[in-house]
Amino acid sequence: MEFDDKAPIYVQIMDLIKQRIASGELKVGEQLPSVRDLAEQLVVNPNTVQKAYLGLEREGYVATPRGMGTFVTGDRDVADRLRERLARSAVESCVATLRSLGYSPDEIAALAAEAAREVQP
Amino acid sequence: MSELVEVVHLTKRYLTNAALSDVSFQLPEGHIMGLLGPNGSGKTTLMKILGGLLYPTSGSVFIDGVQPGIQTKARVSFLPDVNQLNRWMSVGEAGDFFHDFYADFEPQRFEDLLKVMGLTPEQKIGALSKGMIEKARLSLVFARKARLYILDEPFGGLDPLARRQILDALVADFRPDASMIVSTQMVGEVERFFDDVVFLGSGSIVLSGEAEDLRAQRSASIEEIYREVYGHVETRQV
Amino acid sequence: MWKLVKYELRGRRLVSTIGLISMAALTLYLAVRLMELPPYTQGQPDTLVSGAPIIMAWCWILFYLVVTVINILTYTQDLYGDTGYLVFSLPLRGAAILGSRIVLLVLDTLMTLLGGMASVIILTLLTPGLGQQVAPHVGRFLLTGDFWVMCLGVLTVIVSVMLIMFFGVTFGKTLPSAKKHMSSIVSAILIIAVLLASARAGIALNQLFAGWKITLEPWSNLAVLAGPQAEMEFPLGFPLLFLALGIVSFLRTCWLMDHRLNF
Repeated sequence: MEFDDKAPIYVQIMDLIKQRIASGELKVGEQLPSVRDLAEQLVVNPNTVQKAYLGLEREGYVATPRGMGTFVTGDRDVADRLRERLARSAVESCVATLRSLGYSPDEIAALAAEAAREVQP
Repeated sequence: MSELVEVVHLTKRYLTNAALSDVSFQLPEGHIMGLLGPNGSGKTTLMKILGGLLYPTSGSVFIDGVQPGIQTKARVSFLPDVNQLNRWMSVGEAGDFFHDFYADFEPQRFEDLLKVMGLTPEQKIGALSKGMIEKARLSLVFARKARLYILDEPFGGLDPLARRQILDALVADFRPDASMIVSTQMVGEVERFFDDVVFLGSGSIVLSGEAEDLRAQRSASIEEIYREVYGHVETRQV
Repeated sequence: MWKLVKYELRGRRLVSTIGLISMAALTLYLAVRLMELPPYTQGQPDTLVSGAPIIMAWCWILFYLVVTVINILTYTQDLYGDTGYLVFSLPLRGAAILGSRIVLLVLDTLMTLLGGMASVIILTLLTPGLGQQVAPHVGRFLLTGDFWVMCLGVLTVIVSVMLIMFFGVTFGKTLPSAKKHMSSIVSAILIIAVLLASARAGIALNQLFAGWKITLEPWSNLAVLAGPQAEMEFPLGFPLLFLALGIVSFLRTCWLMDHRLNF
């Protein structure tokens, strides 16, 4: 898996998992892969995955009941809010780029609508 | 509490130069440390001292609380940057040799690794290509269930596919009760595996810390930090 | 240590095989030539007749030299070359590493001694004239205690000299100089100096303790060969000195390997 080595990798792993939670790929109550399995999948140091899991636990997205694996916590609400947050930040960064190119808000809206219709489900 | 590896004010002086000056660091168990620096910065010297092949001028080194000697050699698996095997031996005989002298050598694991590397026990070391000898040596080193693995330029003679195989084996083999010290010029490819990084320059530590912390602090990859620290990145000519 | 000996022997198998086959072939060749000769008649000088056993003996000495040089060369290569990474990473004490070399040396000496005696005796027995004279005495000769004592003495001195050489080579590798050539030169000078000094000291000791000697009759059962001078006096000063030096060298070399190695 490609990572941006300029930023801490564990943060990027956390983002990856948050994305999967937000999209519903990882459901509430579902178990995350073991540290070792995920490390092998992503080809990173298992300690880094461990750090990511701990970070997610601190932020309240997962929990590790003693002795068992790591599970996605919270209700659907949390996932929805996360999804919304991720979407908003994606849109904001796109809008900022287009604004810097000189597009007006109406033009941006039109472009977005067009692009959204063209995307294959 | 003690860390798996403790290096305290280590100095190694020769008549004409100081290979290491006042080097101190610690390595907890379960960590992979990247030992980085250009040729001549003291990496191999440091590794040899940890391996018990070189004695310090001053300072101390502790592996599991013990100074380098017979006890540590039984627990440290050292991969030098040159071929240390006799050319008359076959791959299998080299395995037998390790089995005979190292109690932590696991023949089954050796066999498995050979299969992954595409080697057979009958092949004679003298008949193998440089890359295949490298793979054989790596198999020997990782077939041992050691406490500390010291790898000096383990990717030197390997093509990208082989490097990938090694890295996969590294992750699959990762044990929280063992640690690794790896020196390499191929920083970019391997940096994602480092928990800790030590940059050596002319025998002293120029910069050290946890890899993720360094990335966050400098918003740069370890490779870029390497370039900052030394002014360039050396690429190894194979 | 014995495991190391096993692998050293394996590593030498090509050289050993060639060496032993050559010696056997030479013995066979000379034996066949001897057997083709007409029976001995007085006053018939033939270089081959008188020479065969002696040629054989010299060949064995050459064989021994080659094998011993290989022994110390391999050790030096391990110390200075890449294979040292293998040997000195093993969880072994210096005593085991050096000990394996000495075991090989003793094995080589025994092999040379027994092989040499066998082929020389065979050729002597086949030599017309000489053979008939010697044949009845061979059995008793082999049981001559004094002969074996002499051999033991010679073995002790050889091992001690080799130990001094191992010490010199090892010492060179403990110097705080990173240059290979410096170490080699220092080693060589050290070895030569020690050997010369020991020889001088040995001679002086012999003179000082003139009474210390042992009288052996190693050739007593082959009086026919040895002639009038059957009794030999061996001063003890010289060998004892070398024995002491050998032991000190061994201990010091082991210590150097364990504590001062600059690989």
